[in-house]
Amino acid sequence: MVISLGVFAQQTGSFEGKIIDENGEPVLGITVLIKGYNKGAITDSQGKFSIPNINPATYSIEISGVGFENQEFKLVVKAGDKIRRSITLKESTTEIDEVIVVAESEGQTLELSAKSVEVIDTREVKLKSADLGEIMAQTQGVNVQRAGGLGSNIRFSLNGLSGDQIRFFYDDIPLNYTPYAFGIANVPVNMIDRVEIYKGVVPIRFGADALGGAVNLVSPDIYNGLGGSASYQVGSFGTHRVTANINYANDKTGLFIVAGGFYDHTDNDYEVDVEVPDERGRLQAVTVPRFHDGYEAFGANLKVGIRNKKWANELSAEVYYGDYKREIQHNQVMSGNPFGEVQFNSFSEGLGIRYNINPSDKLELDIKAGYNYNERISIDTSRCLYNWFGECVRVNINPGEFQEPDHLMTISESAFLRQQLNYTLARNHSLKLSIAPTYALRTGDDLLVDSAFDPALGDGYLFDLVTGLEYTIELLDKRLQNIAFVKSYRQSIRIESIDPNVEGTLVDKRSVSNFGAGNGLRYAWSPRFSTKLSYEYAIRLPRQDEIFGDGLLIGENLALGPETSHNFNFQWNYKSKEKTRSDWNIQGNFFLRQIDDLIFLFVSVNDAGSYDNVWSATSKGLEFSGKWKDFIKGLTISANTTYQQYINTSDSGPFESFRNDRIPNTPFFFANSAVAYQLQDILKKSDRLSFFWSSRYVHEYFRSWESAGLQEFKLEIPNQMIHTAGLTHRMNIKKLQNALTLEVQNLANTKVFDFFGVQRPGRAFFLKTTLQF
Amino acid sequence: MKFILKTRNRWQWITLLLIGLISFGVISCNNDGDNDVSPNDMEAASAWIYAYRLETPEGRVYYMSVHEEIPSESNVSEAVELGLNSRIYSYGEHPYTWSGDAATITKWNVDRTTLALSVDGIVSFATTGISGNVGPPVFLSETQSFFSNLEEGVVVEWNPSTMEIEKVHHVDPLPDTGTEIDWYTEWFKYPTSDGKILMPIEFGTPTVCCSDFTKPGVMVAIFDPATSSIAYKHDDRLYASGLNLLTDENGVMYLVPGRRNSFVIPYFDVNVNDLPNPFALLKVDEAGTFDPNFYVDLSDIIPIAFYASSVFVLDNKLVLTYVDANDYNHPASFDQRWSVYATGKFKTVMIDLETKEVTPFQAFSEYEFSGYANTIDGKNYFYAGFSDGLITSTSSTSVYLRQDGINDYTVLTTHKGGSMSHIGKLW
Repeated sequence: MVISLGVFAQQTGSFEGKIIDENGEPVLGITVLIKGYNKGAITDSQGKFSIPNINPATYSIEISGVGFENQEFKLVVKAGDKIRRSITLKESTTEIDEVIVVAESEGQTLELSAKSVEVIDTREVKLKSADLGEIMAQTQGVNVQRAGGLGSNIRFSLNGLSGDQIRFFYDDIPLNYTPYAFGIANVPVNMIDRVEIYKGVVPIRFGADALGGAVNLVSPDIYNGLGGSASYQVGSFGTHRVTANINYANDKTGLFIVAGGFYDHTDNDYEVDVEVPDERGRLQAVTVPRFHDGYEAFGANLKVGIRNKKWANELSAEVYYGDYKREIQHNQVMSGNPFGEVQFNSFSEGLGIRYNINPSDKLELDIKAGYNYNERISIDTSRCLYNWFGECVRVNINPGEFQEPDHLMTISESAFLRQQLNYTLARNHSLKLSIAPTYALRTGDDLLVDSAFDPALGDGYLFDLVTGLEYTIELLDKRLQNIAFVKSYRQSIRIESIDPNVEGTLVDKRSVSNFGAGNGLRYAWSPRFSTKLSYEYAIRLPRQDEIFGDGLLIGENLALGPETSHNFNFQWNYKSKEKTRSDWNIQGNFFLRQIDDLIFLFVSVNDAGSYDNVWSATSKGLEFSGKWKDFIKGLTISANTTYQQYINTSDSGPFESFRNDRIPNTPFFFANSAVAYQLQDILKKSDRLSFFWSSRYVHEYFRSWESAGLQEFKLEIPNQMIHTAGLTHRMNIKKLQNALTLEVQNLANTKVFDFFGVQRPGRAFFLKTTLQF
Repeated sequence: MKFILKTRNRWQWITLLLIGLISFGVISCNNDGDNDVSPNDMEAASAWIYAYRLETPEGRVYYMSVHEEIPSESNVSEAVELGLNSRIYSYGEHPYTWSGDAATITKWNVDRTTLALSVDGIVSFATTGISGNVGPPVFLSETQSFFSNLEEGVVVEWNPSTMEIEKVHHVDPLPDTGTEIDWYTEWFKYPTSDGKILMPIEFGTPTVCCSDFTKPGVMVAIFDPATSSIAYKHDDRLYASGLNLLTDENGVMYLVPGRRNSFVIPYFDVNVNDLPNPFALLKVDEAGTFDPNFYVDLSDIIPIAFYASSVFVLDNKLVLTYVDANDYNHPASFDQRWSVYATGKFKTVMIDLETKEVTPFQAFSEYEFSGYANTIDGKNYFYAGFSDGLITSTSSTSVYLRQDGINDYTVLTTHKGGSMSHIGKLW
């Protein structure tokens, strides 16, 4: 819906911003018009608008919308200016005409591009207590398997693919190089504006080898003046989550400052059903609280910059620090003795700079660079053998609750550059060139080894260079958009270690080059119906340890190749007519991933082994989603479902016998639904009370090959149905927007297992307050 | 009979009919895993258990099944799925399965007619110090078995009949080696005629290369349940033994080299003259006494770079697998020491222990690895297969072989997708 009539003859400016009502709520459907010119924009559901390509001049801007008083003001636009404003509208005293103008948000605009992407707008969900993992799991095609509560390990799978096959980013930068290096599910929702989930076809700007897709978290925009937000959540299992964010921008001077921080703490002492042996080894079923599953994380970032200058659209620098500590309660399958002292700590710190400029009308240069230091320490040195009551029942001679003692520090230092050059060839034709080098050094220290010769002290140097070229064309009055791209991957690894048996430094090295390509085509058959067809030949480069082994029984394989995949998507979207009192849309997607050369660790009967490209798989499936919203009655209903066949197609190797079996331990049918109902003017004028209910169903799946084993003895993850309900009261006190949410997760107290049978939290209550100004 | 028929009323007939239908239904439904059932619901004449692993992207999952005769190919759809990190044993008429994660042993019943498996009981060792990857228990009787973790100084006596722990024997743990080594454990346990348990101990090399390091020699442990005591016995003629003893047809027990022995000379600063021979063969009796008059230096007979495994001793002949020192040099880097499995050329030979004559052993030549599995009804059984640990391998087929003569083997069964885990005969 953004009206854009660019003129390329001279350097232009832009005007964007956010429109809110007197209560501070964003207003949708407001017209922002440059009077006297056929140019303007309509605000989206977040109240945002953007008018690009404005020639330098002084303009009269008119803001108008149903139910609000018109506003008019002068705007001086200079060449290269990127003006941002936050505008407050007064409500009109005249009767409101029940006409709602539907506009597309930035995320919706992205979804309606040729890119294969789902966008999660966090504006509503950040008022709730669900963490990011739970929020993403409500998206079609996405499954998030968790090994416990907040802070626990997760497996994020997208259309069946998971692990290293999916890459995660924060503002286009790898998540590892941010304060949130400890996993995407634990990133505080209040620190992000939206989540972009790229399915199988990944834009070149990320500069990454993503076999199955990518997830990008996008931070909030900054508007002129002082703004900020804060949230505090308290709830079951000793959970406390705090976020705070403040920003200031001055459009006259161009200065802007953003500071943010978060603190998370949970005991995760939810009850689990376990069996505890007596002194004769007889097992008794008991229900006990977890006692060593705490998680604590905090982080902060500070960003200072100048924007909207002739010499820079933005020049900024950011520093950050993130730290977390996680207790480990049990082994992978939650059986046997629990752990009472195993711990995993990590911190990440670094800095980043960004420079963005339009050297000419047709060129935009965007440079992001950064440095990151990350340290991880695993500690497993206790001699105590704990029982499920948290008692040390035996002091072992040998340390290590995981069997072998461990006190390992792993250090990585990384420097990266992301350069993107956008060139407008002509109207509706553009080229993008992305060059993304990353240099990383990884070393460590086994703190249990006193000797000077410590295998963990070996240095691993990694240099990745991902280059991409993308051509975008828009035709037929933008009804057709096509994005074609090619990618080049260059990876060089060098391992240096000291071996007293060898003179000098021992060096292992390898360099490889690979190529990928893809295309996305979007065609709008009508204003309401559009389709997308996208494809990428994607690769995942092997990790350092997969190539060079672990120095023990896992040997090197210098011939190890990348995992490859042909990724197809066919999506369609059908939406309601605009300018109606309700809004609905339905979407469908057929996806196909033909994955080959998958890497697997072969371990022989002699316990020796190596990684090799040995198996292949196909993941194909259907996703459907629908949403209906009545703006007048305040009712929203949404649902989605995914059915996928992630099938082993190996015709040789160890999986040959199970060709056409589903890949084990991977959900194949899941669905989500949500209902929200909003009432207004409850306690005072313009306050709002929202009731929400969401449900998630995951169909049972096997933990091993489905055709192997008698059905009565098959290990499976059973059907799961989880309900969450709550209510949110939003009230504004002057310009301070306040929201208070009471939420019950796992309402029916269902026993939930989704990661090797590990029990997840039962019913939990949370209270969350969110402030915004 | 005639009278009875006459006096039965219609309800009796209906009842009989219902019972018949229900019985038919029960029999019809209860046919999982009973492909080998004898005709006419007779008890199976024999019951064989065999178990194997399947590779999955999540790790190795273990399976077991019971058959009247071992099928020529594994039918994994008829097997009991046991999960990750399991081990399978059998004693008497019962299979037992160990879960290393849960630290439990599960006892299974086998229906004598259908051969269907069902759980009989579970005993947990979770609080005793035994868990994870440990050697199998030794069964002395239907009511007495011992499980151990000598690194923790624990021998647990448990009753397989009641599936309860009877006593935890706290014994002297494995003697301190003075340095952190990568492997130090007992594995197989052998009951002796006087009610004791003999355990060979395998130990490895220090975790970190390449300091001065000389271990005193091979070690066995003798545990006496009556006194809850353990004795460790050494012999300096062999560097360290493997996990198991080789027993010939006369019951003579041999201690054979452990595979980590091969790394000592190439990687550590040792005075070879002081070093126990890495490649010697010794005899030990059930009292743990090493035969002072028996010593075979295998490296005098064949040039050994890597001693991989001992297959069997029969008719005073030892069959072993090794890598020839003329074909292989250990890589300079200690970290790459196990690359021998990827690049070494393995040979299996038979050595006549009397004449020291060496002859190629061809019976297993088509396989990339082989090893001893069990002795059943006086015959040795071996596993063999195509290694799934080699980069070049595209297959992962395993077999069980029965030894009918020193060069005569019968392939009993073939399994694809992982290696063998256990074979046994329940009756």
